[in-house]
Amino acid sequence: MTELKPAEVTKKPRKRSGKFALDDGGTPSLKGTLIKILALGVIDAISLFIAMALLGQGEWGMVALVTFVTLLLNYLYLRRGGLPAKYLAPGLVFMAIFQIYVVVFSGYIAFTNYGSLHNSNKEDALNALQLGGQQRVPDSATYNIKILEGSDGKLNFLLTLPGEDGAPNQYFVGNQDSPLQQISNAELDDSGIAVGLEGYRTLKLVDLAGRQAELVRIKVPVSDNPADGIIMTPDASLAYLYMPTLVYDKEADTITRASDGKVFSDVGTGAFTASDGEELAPGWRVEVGFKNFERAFTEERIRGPLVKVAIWTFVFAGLTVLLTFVVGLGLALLFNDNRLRGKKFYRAAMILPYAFPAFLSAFVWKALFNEKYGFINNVILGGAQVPWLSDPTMAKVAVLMVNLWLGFPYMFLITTGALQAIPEELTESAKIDGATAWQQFRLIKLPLLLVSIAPLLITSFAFNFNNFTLIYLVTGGGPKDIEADINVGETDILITLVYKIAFSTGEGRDYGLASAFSILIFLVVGTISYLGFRRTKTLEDVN
Amino acid sequence: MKTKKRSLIAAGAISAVAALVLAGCASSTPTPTDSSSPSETPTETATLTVWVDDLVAKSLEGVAATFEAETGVAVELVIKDFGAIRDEFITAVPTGEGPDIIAGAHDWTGKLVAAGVVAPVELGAKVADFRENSVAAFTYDGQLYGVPFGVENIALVCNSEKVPAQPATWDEVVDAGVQIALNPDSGDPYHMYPLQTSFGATVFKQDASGSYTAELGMDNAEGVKFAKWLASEGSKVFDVNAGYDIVMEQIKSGDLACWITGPWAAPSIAEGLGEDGYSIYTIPSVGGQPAQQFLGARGFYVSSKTEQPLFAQQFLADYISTEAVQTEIYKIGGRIPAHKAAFEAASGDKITKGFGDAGTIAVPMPSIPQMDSVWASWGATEAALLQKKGNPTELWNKMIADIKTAIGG
Repeated sequence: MTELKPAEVTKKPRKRSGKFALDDGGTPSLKGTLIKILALGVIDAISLFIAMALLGQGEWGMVALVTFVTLLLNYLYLRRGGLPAKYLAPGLVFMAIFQIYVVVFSGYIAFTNYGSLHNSNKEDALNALQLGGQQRVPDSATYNIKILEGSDGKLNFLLTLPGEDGAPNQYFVGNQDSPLQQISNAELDDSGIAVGLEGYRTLKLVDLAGRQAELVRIKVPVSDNPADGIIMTPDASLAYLYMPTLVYDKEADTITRASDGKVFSDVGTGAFTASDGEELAPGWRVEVGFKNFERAFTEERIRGPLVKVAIWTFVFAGLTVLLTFVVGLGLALLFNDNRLRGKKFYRAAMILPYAFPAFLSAFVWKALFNEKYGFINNVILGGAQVPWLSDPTMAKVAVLMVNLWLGFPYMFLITTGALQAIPEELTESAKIDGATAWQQFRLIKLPLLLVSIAPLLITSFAFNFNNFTLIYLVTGGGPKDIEADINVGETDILITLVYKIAFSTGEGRDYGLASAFSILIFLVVGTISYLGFRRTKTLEDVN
Repeated sequence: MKTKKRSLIAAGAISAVAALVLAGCASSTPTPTDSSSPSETPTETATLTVWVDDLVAKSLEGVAATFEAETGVAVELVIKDFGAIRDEFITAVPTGEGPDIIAGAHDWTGKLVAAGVVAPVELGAKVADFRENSVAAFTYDGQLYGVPFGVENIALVCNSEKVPAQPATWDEVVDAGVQIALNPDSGDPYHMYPLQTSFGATVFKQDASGSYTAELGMDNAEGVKFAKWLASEGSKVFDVNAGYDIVMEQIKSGDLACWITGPWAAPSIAEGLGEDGYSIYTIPSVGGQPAQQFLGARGFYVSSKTEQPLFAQQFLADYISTEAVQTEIYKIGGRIPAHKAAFEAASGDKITKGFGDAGTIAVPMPSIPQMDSVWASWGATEAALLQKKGNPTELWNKMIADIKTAIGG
């Protein structure tokens, strides 16, 4: 708890001019003040930008939050004193943005059905359904079109149907509410295309710039009979005949499919649903309560492999930590011996696997493990055909080997540091008392080591528990059990299983389910870490 | 409209910085009265934002300038990593911050439609200017959702010395020696597909309009026949441990005669065998029917929430769909043109012509969301069959059952 001491100092009598006075940070220099004001100015400008962008979207809560945080930062840095807060503030702000917000947001998503089928709100879903809700009648006529604005501001279609084989052109006018009418009094241009009509203003493309979205959604009925179809224009220069495939009834809030007359209505599950359960895609985002969590435990295809994968995840993370620790510690002890020459060189060489990007190593290892052409089978094992990546057991061994290679330098580094921190006198006095080398290690070095290393072992466990990169790159979770019902492999750990279930099934990406799983994994890792840290504390107390 | 709002925000931020800096300096200089004027550009009426990868961006610079000169609508090309465009687009559209147009792959169509982020496009009569299978690739539920510009498919690439002319039968290819870059665990259903279709077993059935349905097309006797062939004949020919790099070495060194692969491998093969040392052939049928490989197409989609649907449609139908622009995209990106005239113009190039001709019978890779559920079991089963790990009929039927569960669940 030594970190808190500086804060205690502040309570002592004030010493304004003193160089080390922590209460006011000393007398600021002119240069320092200028830099401070400039930096704050930049931060304020960024905040202002963000706030105005949020204002534009009507996100009032966020605007208030941004304003509050900005004002707080200004207050913290412009007032005298409060030095600890000045040091901590940036870290806390970033922690709030990158940790707390992310966790809270994932937590929220876990209770929604957010995914590729439920991507936006209902308005957007309806818009998309209506945009795709009609099909062009194959080989139907193409009309030339001009857009007319009536005195009421409504947009009208002025259509020219070119006559075939010398037949005269035909002209029509109509709008969203009144079906097409054939007319003969249109103003024509040189090529016989209707360009205007009395009582209406012909709109140019420029005039339409602001009303584009409105225009492409206009459906002009061909006649009073809906079965005759509708006229729509995608570009304001040509128009085509379409048949509606989905018809939205605004009053009843239902969609009827033209092909079979099936009625889909909003039943609160985030999609237009028919009475037999069929849903129209896209749907929209709604909150679904604990449904995602329920699915994790009740859906057979998920629950089936979950236990097996969970056990392997614990084995994988545990063995990885144990193996890397043992190898790293062994090497550290070896290189800590004063009699060894060229220690610096060896130590540098030991760090190499750690310095090499894990992505590359994983790919290289994958190639080394190739059953027929790989270096390990071909050269080291003299042509043996060990199925490293396609046999369930060997694949597990292979993954652990790669992780050992990637992980031991880290353990080597931290144990070397910790060993060097153990006072030499302790081992010397043990020697004098007649302790053997093993006793020295087991009774003096190891307990002292564990005090400082144990928290790092726990974080290493937590990291490997979610070591997605390694599994994904080396085996992809494989070998796939072709006897199993879902796409789960022998080396899949929980996080890769989540990825497979949530992101590569027939329903596309399911962020809600993925978040729910992440929270479950977070709870598991969190609990283990908590118990682990509590245990370390007792270790600390003993010493 | 959008640009105006942005510049207002920018202006606000700039003046705030200016004010703070000035205050900080405690300078006596009077505050400039209209610091916001330079950032306001009232002449611009609208901007089309287009998300593209770097190669397509480069090829669109010319047509973007033309479009702006002729219509007064600016085209802003935003360069994105190709792999990131789809998911960013799906996430961005609902927030209203998405682009008006994106360039993407055709197999995104199903997901984009299901997420409700794309609007149909209408090419009118121009649709006939494009390869039929590239248009079919962007057609989903009978609607055209994209304007194609490039296609990609695999073919049979052979050492010209060992196989000097188009092989008439599959046996000729086997006699010369052939490989598919495989993975012992996950096979490679994509590269195996022409062999499978030649038995008449398609992955999904197509309806009358050519759109794929969610009904499996390999759940039949033809599928089982293909499975049996893989175990009995395929296992003798294909080496599941020979991955891409290994097969590449074998063909470059001349040890291997033929390889079923795509245009991406051709430049490296040419390094080993010389520009004239290799030939591109149509894949001969194994099971009696045409060996149809998958077609992958690239094209442009329009956002369902664009504020400029007219301009977007106009840009795609009247500017992008012209031979000149399609040729320009080909020249920079090197993808086989989907535009027929542009393809003819490019047929002097061996790779373009060879793979393009071999791909006239290619079928679009299904873009329905169910396709994602197929790959894993499909590949693992093919790999198992090639390694004779069980009874072919049982393995195939088990695979069908698994895929059905995955699709249904």
